[in-house]
Amino acid sequence: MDQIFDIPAERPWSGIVRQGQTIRIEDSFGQQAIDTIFYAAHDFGERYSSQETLKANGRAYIETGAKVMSSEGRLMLTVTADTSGRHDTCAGCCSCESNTVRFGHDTRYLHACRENFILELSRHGMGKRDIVPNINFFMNVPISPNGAMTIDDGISAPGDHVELLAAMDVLCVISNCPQINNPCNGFDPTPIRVVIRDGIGG
Amino acid sequence: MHIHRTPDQIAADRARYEDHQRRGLTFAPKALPDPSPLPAPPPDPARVLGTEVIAGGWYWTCTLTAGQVIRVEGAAGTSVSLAVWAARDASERLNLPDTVKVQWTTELRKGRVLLSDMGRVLLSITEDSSGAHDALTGGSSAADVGQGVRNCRDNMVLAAGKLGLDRRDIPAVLTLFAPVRVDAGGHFGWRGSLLSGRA
Repeated sequence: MDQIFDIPAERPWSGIVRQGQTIRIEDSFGQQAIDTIFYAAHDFGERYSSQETLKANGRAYIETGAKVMSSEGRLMLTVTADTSGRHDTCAGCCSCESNTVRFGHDTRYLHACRENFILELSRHGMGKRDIVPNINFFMNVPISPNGAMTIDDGISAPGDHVELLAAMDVLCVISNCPQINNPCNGFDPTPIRVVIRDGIGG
Repeated sequence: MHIHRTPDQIAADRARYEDHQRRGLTFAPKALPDPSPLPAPPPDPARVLGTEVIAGGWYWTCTLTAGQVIRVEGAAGTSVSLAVWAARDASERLNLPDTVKVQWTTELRKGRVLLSDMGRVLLSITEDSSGAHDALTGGSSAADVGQGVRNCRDNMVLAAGKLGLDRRDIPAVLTLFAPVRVDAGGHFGWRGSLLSGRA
């Protein structure tokens, strides 16, 4: 039986994905960044590592076939499907604090992913120190050979989705990104959908 | 359904973003200072507060107060991974994603800064003869080098442990003297030619 979760614009969510289950993350309206962190369900001290993941895949972007690695160098999930083709894990999540540096002090009191993560992690006994560099599904952050990095318009269309098969039991924590100061959400944050089911395919 | 923002709001936000983008990608790099000379001139002995020679494969920690300078000198072929915590509150720590996106570059060199997760500058790169550092792929782990060989991850666990912290507190690390760059196809590669600092 599929578990379906509709996540409103700008809101956080968390849920358990068991070993052998697949999580589908759907960008229901297109051009919506979905900030995501995974924790080993039985030991939150082991969690997603962008650096282990980048190293394991040898690629600057998350794509079909990518291994999602933990801080202990273990496989957490594998990307088994992707209709979009571009996901980031270098640019991290937005925060009120970094927004002020990036976009000016008048953005200080706008909702941000770090607020979502602190609130959602607090439900699991974790806090700010547990926020690690995350995956940004559907966020388009090209990095040039000269090092230049920018957040470009998202390339995801309504209904685009990515699927990941869990190699261990994981807690998935999502911030449905509320950023309106750059194009990662088309300047217009929208709802998303998460579906968890047994096995691959379906 | 979600509440749509108005076309005027979106256009105004996009215009402001594109202005920031132009300044960050086009103007800021032109304002960077030239790399430091190599070999580096020795520091004034009267101002040196301490020196440590770190054995290959090992770790070391120190506390800097605001206004102090740390010089990291790597023997040829040596890379050095760096984690940073705010001394007054270790929950504030190096945040490389913010560091690279705020400065519109993954290439950290003289004139760039290292930012914390709270939007504050932890360290400024005031001299740099290399300019070939890796802000993306981190250091080695046991999986990379094999059991029984010292690795960066274990070093960070040990260093954090002796500061009263644990593995939950280890941020993504900056690796100095590691010319890892992304090619046009999105693959990481080691561009040794950058280590001269003049490429």
